[in-house]
Amino acid sequence: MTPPLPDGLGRRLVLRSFLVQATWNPRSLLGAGLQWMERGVIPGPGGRAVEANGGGEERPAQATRVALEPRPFNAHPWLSPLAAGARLRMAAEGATRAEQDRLGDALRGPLGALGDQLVWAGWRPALLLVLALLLLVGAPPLAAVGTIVLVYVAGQTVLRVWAARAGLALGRQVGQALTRARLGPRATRLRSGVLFLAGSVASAASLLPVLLLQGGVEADGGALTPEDLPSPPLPGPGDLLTWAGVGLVLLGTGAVLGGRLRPWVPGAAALVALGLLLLRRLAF
Amino acid sequence: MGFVLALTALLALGAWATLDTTSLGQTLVCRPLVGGTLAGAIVGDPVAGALAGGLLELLVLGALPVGAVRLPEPGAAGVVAGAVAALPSTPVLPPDPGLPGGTLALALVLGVALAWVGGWSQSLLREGNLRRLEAAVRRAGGGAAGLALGRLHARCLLADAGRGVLLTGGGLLVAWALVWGVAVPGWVRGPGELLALWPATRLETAVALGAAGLLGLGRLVAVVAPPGRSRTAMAGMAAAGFLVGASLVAAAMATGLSPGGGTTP
Repeated sequence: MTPPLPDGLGRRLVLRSFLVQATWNPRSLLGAGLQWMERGVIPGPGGRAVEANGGGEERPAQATRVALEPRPFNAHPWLSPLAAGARLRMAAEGATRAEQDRLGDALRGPLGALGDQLVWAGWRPALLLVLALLLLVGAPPLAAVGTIVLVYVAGQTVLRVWAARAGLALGRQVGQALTRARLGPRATRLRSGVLFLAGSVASAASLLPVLLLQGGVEADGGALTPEDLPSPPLPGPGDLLTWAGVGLVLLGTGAVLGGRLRPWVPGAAALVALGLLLLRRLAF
Repeated sequence: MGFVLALTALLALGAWATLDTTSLGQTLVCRPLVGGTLAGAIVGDPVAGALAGGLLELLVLGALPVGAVRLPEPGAAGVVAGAVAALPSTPVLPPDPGLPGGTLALALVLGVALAWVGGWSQSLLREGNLRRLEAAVRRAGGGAAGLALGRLHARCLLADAGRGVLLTGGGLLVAWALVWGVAVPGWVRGPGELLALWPATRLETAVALGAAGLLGLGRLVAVVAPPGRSRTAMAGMAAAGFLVGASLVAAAMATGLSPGGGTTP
């Protein structure tokens, strides 16, 4: 019979998972963070106290060293409760440390890859692009930021809670939960949504100059005089199409260059753009 | 908000944004669009903060933390950029009409530079985490493993928060030196005089930066494009979004809305 796990263990796993990357280092990666999440004494077979990957027959000092010199572990932080929960369930069922480590090793790849696709390439850019779009079409900044941050945190909390529950419930069979949850297809849909949103923001941002000239931001900053405002005040369809076309070309250029662009290149391009602006004005 | 209170709040926000990147929480506070807006609100102009943060966001949005590559870290950078961009709304600077362009340019230059320094300092922090881990192992006696791990976490978090304060404080210090002109020998004249030399309005500056930002957004498109989908399908998805975005902006303009929640005059 599977031994019961203490109340509140899942909650503690979820809360500690928010800190799982605090000790990230080049040797054990998330290993120390995972150890810290698992440092809960849970009842094992026969009532003997056990801990995942660190308790058992060792003397306290030895257990401490084992905890502080963990095996390398890596996963997406939001999915890390799944691995910790599964290892704790295995410990409660009397699995050896080697068995727990094998499960941890097996989960490293899938939890990292799925999390990267679902969150870093999906959920996070999607919500940031929604926020950008909201701001561009006139939402109050603080209200928009607050709403999007709340939705983002709610989403990650749901994922962490699901991961902790699945791990603690299924132990070594936790792979079934990953299969059933269909995280991969969900990530693909999210990433398609990011493409859509990127297109939306690109066109809206291309039209930003027109919006600025309408008086919102620029007039607040006091930079425009009435002579600077376009006449007629509302731009025609031709202006909008021109600006949108410029945006589409730039977006397409970035997309075609894509992976060949180093992460710092857009920032360098911004500095070059400012330099050109300065030179153009100084020259004329 | 008083100067000391605003400075303290900005340093705290910078520390939070830096911690939020990796060590604590991973909410969106580490993103320039969010951090910049909040910093702008602290200084007194959330719209200007959102503009600077949004432009910086476009530049770094395509840098996803996937694989072993050093990335720009925009947490503290967004806070500094948002705060600097909002300066013209404060009594610190005189109401010079040329200033918003200069402050936006300065905000983004500082933001880009700090994002690079942030990425580099994050590598140093992680090396430091390893040293702290090794020190904890040496100190480990008969104490409880949980307690030792808790202390280790506290030390690492403190180091990361300190890094955030240093990055934010350093960025604000450079901004202060440039705003007052003390960074240029012989220029110490008055607040904002150096920035007023910037030869472009905020609009022109934003357009130049936005063009580079769209390049960064294109990088995101290339990185997140789902595998197995045809290029035509992906381009179609982005193009559909393009039309929707243009329609939204046109509708917003027709109803008189403008960025930041105001209405056009």
